Amino acid sequence: MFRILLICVFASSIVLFVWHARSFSLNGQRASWLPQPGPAQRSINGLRKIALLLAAGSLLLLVFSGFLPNMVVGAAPSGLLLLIHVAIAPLFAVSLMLWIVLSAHNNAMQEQDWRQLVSLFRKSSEESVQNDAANRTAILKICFWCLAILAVPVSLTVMLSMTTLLGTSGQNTALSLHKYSALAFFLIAVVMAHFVLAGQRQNNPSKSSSKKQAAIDASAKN
Amino acid sequence: MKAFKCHFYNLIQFKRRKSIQLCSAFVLLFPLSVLPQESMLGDVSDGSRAVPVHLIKLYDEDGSVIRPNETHLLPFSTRETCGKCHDYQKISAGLHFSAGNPAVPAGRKGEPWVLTDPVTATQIPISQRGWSGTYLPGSLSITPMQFLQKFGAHLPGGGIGEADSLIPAENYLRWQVSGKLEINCLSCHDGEAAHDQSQFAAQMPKQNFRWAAAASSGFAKVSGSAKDMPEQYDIYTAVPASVTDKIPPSVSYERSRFNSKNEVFFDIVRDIPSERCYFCHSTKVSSVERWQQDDDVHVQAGMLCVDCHSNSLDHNMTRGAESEAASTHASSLTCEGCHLGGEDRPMLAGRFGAPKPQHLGIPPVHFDKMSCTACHSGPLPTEQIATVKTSRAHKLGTHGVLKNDEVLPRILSPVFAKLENGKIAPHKLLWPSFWAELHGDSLAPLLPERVQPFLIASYVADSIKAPGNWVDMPDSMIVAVLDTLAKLDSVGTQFGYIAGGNLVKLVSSGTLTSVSHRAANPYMWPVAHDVRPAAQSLGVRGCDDCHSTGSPFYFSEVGIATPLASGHRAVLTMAEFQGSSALYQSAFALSFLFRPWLKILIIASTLIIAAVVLVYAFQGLAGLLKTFAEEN
Repeated sequence: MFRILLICVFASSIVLFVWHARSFSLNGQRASWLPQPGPAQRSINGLRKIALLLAAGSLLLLVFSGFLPNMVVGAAPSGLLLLIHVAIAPLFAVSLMLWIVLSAHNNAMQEQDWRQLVSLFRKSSEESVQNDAANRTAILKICFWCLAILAVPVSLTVMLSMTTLLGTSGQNTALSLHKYSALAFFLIAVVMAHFVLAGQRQNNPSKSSSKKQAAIDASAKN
Repeated sequence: MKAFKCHFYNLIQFKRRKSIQLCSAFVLLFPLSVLPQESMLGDVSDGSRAVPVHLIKLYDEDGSVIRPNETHLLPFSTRETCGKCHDYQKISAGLHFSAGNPAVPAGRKGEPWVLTDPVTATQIPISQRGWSGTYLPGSLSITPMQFLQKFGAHLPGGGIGEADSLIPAENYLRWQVSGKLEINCLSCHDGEAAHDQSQFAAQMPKQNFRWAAAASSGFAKVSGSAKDMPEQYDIYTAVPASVTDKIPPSVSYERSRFNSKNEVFFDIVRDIPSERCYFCHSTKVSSVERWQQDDDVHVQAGMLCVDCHSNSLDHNMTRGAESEAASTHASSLTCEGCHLGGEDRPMLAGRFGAPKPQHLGIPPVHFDKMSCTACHSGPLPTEQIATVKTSRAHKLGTHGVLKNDEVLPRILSPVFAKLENGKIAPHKLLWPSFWAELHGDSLAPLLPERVQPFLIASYVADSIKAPGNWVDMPDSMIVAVLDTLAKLDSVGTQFGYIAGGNLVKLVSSGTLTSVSHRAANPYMWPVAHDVRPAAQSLGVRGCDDCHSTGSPFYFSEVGIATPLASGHRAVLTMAEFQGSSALYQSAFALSFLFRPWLKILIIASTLIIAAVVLVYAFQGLAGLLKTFAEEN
């Protein structure tokens, strides 16, 4: 069951990222959902960026070392992969904590965000498109808090299993919780990344499309 | 002339007897083959838990009642005596008697017989089950009679001891003298304190196979030796044909044990005492005295070996391995089955009051990678793996056994290695060591007798000074032996010597070269006993029991037992037997030094995240409630 879920999540993630890679290239523009920093916030923003990069990088390594054996042979990681997994986990926990602490205030759910979310389920698709940026911001904030909430069971389950509090059945339950919550965490991280990239694409049309438009304009003039 | 007449008379008498036996067998067996088989009296329980009293007549191998007042008595036959009420044929297919039957699956690797000769530094694992890494007795030209003489001391009879098909034609008359080695039911089922299995063992070198069961019983004495008798010896007249200075085999019974009806009381027990099993299944760790070594925790708790290793009438007893559990009840007699139960047998868990283990703090990956025995069984691993002596390999419990710890074969334990199912389990390990004929990639071991004449006299003198042990074998002697063997061989066969995990052979320059060969790989078989108490399990004191930089579980030195002077002090680390490396395990163990700090980091980070979530959760909830209020 878990293996099937894992394969589905990975397949959809890969499809999503391939789609983004084909239609959009990052050009260093700031994501619209992030607040524009003032001069005093620059150093905090730098730290937040580093924390985010570290968290994202270590997440990828954790996903690779934790899910690969599950996906390939249907077994829990062991040996070198487990060693990598265990070594990376503290880095991930600390960087995630930093990112969440530094971003929590900016991602606090405001009344406007709730309204946007509620309206997302009620308004027609035309209206939704018009408020696309606001919708995206609300969704990204929800994703952020989902990640923050899931980080707790992901970490605590594995920490608990390292104590002598749990017996074999407890250990198995903790491990299952760790696996499923980690998968949910990864899934939400992918969704979040998708919306970030989608937002960037909308704000910054790609160079190739600009060139195409220029060519059309030139031919029209001629 | 007199001797010839006697021989002729014996032969005629023997042939007449055989003819009568054959006719009787045909007359008796014909209706049996037509009529449906019925269970025998003793094979079906009436449900009473009381033990039946075995006050029975003794029968010799011809089916005649034994009367102690008669002169020239024959030993009782278990086939005839026990077989009156129990299906001997069915029992003879049981685990302990079926090793030579090619139709019986080999099963999980077990302890081999070890052909040992200290002088030629030989230790060859032998098995009739064809386990990989062992040699069939036939492939070494060991006849069934030779096999029984060498290893029969720890056989319960049956199988190779009485299979007509295995008796070579040229040995036929000799077998008539020795008799067959029938299943000695008393080896296991005799509850009598006077039962002496060492007397059974003592009959083997004497070829007193027919007399062995009687010798082990508490009410018969056996003297003489069938081996000393000529092939024409007639057991019915008990007069040696030509040899008069040797004592013929004979049995005398304690008359007081017979009642007026010529019945004898056998203290037959259904719950076989563990001491009976121990005669063949004991292990002694070198340099550990008896008082320092506890019994298996199950035995300490009052259980018997047969509580778990039990069987039905077919005597195919459960070996306790999960892979060999053929039925639900059999699987409930494995470690997991009894202590944990399982999906197919939840109601059978806890047999004999087995406690369910908690395994607090043990990550589940351990149960995927290791067998129960890895943490719970065998001697605790130490920095250098100990040598052990076993009943069958070292003839423990028999008369005249060498008691020093250096006696061959060298068996090491516990060696943590992978089982066939990939799980790590403690094993006993034997490094093969023997002279061999090389045939391309394969080889055939040579019996010590073939090599002994070519050994250097000074080396032989040295080895006599170290009884039971091998002495350092110089390269010059290996060269001399291999050279002589090659010169005497007319077809140009190449010879070599297997020792220390390598094949040593001569190259054209007359020097020795050492190459790897699969026949030199150690033979290992898993051990399950003695099970230690939970407080002495590996891991009970924490991860450091195994995952520390000096833990014996990974870093213990497994010596490569070899007589080669050039191969001394060669060792392997335990990790190598587990398909791992000492380097990797060191790195893994080092990670445990930092783990407490890493755990603190993760827990602290998680708590901070939880606090942040908690703080903003109320704020978010307030916003959500306000939104709903505005919507309404």
